[in-house]
Amino acid sequence: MLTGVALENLSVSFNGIRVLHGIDLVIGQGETLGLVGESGSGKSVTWLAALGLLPSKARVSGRVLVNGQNLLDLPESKLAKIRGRRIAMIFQDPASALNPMLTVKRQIGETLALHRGLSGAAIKAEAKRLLDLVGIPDAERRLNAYPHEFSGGQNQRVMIAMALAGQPDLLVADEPTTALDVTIQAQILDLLALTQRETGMALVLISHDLGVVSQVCDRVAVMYAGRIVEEASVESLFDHPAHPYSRGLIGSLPVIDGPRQRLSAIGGTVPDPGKLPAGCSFAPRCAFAEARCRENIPRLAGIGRDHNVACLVSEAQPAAAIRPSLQKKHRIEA
Amino acid sequence: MTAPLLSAQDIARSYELNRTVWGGASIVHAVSGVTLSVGRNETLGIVGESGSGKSTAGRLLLGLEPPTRGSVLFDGKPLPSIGSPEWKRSRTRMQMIYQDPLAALDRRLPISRQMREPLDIHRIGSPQDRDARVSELLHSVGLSDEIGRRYPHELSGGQRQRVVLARALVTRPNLLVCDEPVSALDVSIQAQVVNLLSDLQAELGLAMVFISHDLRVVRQISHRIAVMYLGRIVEEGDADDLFARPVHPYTRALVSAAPIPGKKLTGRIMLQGEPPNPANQPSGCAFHPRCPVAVARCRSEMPTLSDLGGGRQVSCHLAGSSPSVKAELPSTRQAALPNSIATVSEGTV
Repeated sequence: MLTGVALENLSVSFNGIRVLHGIDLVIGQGETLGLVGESGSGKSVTWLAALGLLPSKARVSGRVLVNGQNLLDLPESKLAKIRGRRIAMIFQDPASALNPMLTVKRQIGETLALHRGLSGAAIKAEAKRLLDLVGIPDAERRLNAYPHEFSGGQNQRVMIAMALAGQPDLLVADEPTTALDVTIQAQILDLLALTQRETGMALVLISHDLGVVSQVCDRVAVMYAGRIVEEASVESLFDHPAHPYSRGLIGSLPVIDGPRQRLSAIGGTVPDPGKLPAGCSFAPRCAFAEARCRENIPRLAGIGRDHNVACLVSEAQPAAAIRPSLQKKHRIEA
Repeated sequence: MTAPLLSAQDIARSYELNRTVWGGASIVHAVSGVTLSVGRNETLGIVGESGSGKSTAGRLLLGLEPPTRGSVLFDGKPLPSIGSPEWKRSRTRMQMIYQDPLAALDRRLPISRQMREPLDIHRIGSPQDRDARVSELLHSVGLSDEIGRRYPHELSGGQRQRVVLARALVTRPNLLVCDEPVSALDVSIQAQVVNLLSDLQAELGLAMVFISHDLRVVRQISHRIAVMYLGRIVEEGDADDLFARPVHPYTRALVSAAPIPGKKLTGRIMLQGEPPNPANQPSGCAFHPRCPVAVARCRSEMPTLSDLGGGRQVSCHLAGSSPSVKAELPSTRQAALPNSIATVSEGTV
């Protein structure tokens, strides 16, 4: 069993342009961590880099520690034994991640043979158990079906079954519900939370939707332009978001009950990695930016129990006075 | 009461699938028996899962395809037949916005050229007027003239969707149908586009139909909401009231499945099973195989929409036979939901 996965100062550049600027993250055993940010914030790249899944033109530096081993130093042959076994990853679009030419049994069986040394009848039995586990009805018969015979939600279940086949200690789910219907989204999140609790594996859930992440995760890291800008428990992030970007993300979520309020959209877009502004990358979109924000890059610093933020302004004025409307809303719900 | 700008009476649309040489074919009823109306200065939201017929309903309302049954009235007159000169002229008054802005834009034309195209086609105004109108609209969606000189691939997703919106408004339409306009966008960009759509709708007095599977976004933007399931409207009502006090078991499940920021997944009604196949409709109430409170009658008899008062219409045997259901439903949707379902079934079984 691995004791934890730690990313230390993980940086990535493509063609000399840095897209990831030193990510530090620790995931403990059985922990659920959400990684949130807009497209282009580097949340997927972080994990693709950690697992050696980026194309060779990417320059990756820093350390990815698993059981004291640095994955970035390992040769491909050893890395392949960890990927899919200790750490598994699932992606947004199950239809393109599955092989349309192979039956589901073959695809799950591949992992079982490779990582767990099973063969023949044992593969079939285990594959059936996994399909049962992820809630595919009539698993025995469906083993011989092809991906096109399943619906989108079922394909995502098959992907989860494949990921679970190696009995991973950590599952990285990259936008696993974005392409699915709301009711199916809720089913898949429920399934992820359930298998996480049952198997005791750790879970990293990557999403652009804070609402989705907060349903499953205990802790959330908010990323912006290749850096982590805030890290906190779900409760303290929603009760006292400290970084203006986190506040913007929370404010842009429409709610389904209570009075309707105008969404507090964040103006502008994520900057191009090649043209990052000087100082804090968020400063050009930030309503609270001061002159010093355009000169100094803020570092992630603790502002409370397990709550870190990288913002020069919010350090000066603690999170108390932030978004009273949101806090009121929470009180109504509670 | 003034007549609604757009009204659909009992419209249906079916498609034939897999016609064999013997003449047999399976028929898919994408939309059946939908009655809807949208007033000027009003936004109607349509929600439902994939296959619920919400997009087909949108296309029927716009006259992009003919209904197999029923009729659509726009401004008191039936929609002209597709392809006729009147139909072409009517396009200036009704426009559609799709999910994927990149697919909706011509990637070989600069933005301002393609925004001008509708004006060129319909010969509206002088060339100078057209350019001025394009520039005016770019500004109204928060883009600069400089953006107008760029190509679609040079814009971000949010900017592209703004361009699509601006182009749809260029001929000053009275009706806008938006089919999942923000589903492909990041949450933060979604908020920008949702705010913009609400503002423009109110400013221009548009009648708008907003189709989405995301309840939170639909509620944010709509005045009235219709919930569709397998081609039929199962519940319709005022936007705030509908999701605060959903009556139909399907609406309740949808509300329960919508994520609440900062809340864990617990005590939810989890809808089991997949959205059903429109080509293979169940008997009776189409929702009964997934319904947690279905009774024998639901399997054999199809419910019809009945008026519960207060602008609410529901198509459910259990809701219709027990008028007290609505009053018994708790105003907060937390915790008490399973109880209220139990109340419904006890009251009627």
